Amino acid sequence: MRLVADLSAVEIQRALRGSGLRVATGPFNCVFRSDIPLLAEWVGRLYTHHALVPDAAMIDFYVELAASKGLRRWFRPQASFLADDVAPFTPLPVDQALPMLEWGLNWCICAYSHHVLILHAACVARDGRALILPAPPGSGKSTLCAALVNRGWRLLSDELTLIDFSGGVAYGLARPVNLKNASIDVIRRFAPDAVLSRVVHDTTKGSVALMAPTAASVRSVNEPAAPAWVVLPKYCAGARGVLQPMGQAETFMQLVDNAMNYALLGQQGFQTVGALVGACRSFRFEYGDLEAAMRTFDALAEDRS
Amino acid sequence: MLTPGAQGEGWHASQSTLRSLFLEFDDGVVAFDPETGETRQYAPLAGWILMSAKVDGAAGLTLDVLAKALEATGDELQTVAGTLLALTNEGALERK
Repeated sequence: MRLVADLSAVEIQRALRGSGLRVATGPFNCVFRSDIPLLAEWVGRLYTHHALVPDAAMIDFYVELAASKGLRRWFRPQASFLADDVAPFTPLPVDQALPMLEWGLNWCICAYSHHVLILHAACVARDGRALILPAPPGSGKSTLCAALVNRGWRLLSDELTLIDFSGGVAYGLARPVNLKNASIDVIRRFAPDAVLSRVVHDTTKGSVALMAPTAASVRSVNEPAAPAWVVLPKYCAGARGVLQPMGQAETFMQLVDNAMNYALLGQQGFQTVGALVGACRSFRFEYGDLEAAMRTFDALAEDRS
Repeated sequence: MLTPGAQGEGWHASQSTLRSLFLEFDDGVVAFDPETGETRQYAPLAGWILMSAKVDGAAGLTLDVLAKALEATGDELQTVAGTLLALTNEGALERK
């Protein structure tokens, strides 16, 4: 199996400008294309551990980041995201091309992948058991996820958790983690060895940097994990970081609120969320200190009750 | 028994109850109406009464009253629902 790491920078650049860089991200095979020079370097670094998709394999998503043409090449240049040659979004400044690739891939999954329940949630795993962290933006979900991944938990996803209809399997994507605003420096201090992209400022989400998934996460990306815990995180300065048990009906409604395709799945979605709630212990978690949070989750993983 | 001619909020709520799927948990019941796609959470007692009403095939009138009771909140809901349950058990409310 060949990895992106086996390609030189020139080969990555050539693939992106030509027929595309074929990258496996868990259950989805993607083709990335782009004529934007800065993208090649960062795709190479952030996806370095990912497998290359063989030529004969089926592709799920053909995506492209295309530099603007005409005057826009010189005046405030922009990038357009294309999925199967269709542009679902308005163009963004070209220096936002890297986060745009990730946002665009998330859009592809949410728009087309209804063979699974999709939760707006981070998901990490240890010893085959998945910890699902559903929460709205700004709750500290990605920060917590990035910290856990740098302390031995396996990254499944920082943004989209995919659950099969039995509720008993969570699939991994192991794509880069989106860090925003203050969390960028928090993770830099917490995990100095983590590979972070350059910071892109003035996006709709503020300042954004992407953290590369760990090699171990990517190597195990095709090993599904069994959902064991649902934890609703919330960063709150000074919070003690105690897990507060949450009722199952309340958990059910929280998962529904954070599901991307629940309404579309109808009865199947209701049954899947029910099965997922039945398989997991559920908690609320307000945290103000990452080190203390790590200890809490380590203890949770050790507890076999 | 209410007929469609007497349709009101209560009647619609009772029809939703009859076609809904229920899941019962320690802290309450969640109901999914496949026609509207709506998911609702009920307190344990209210949810239990609704589930019982569906399973036992309680008459439309009973469901209508139950639906009205569920529009109440807090202590009032508990009282009304408890009273309804007692009346139903005593046979004072119509059953199919």
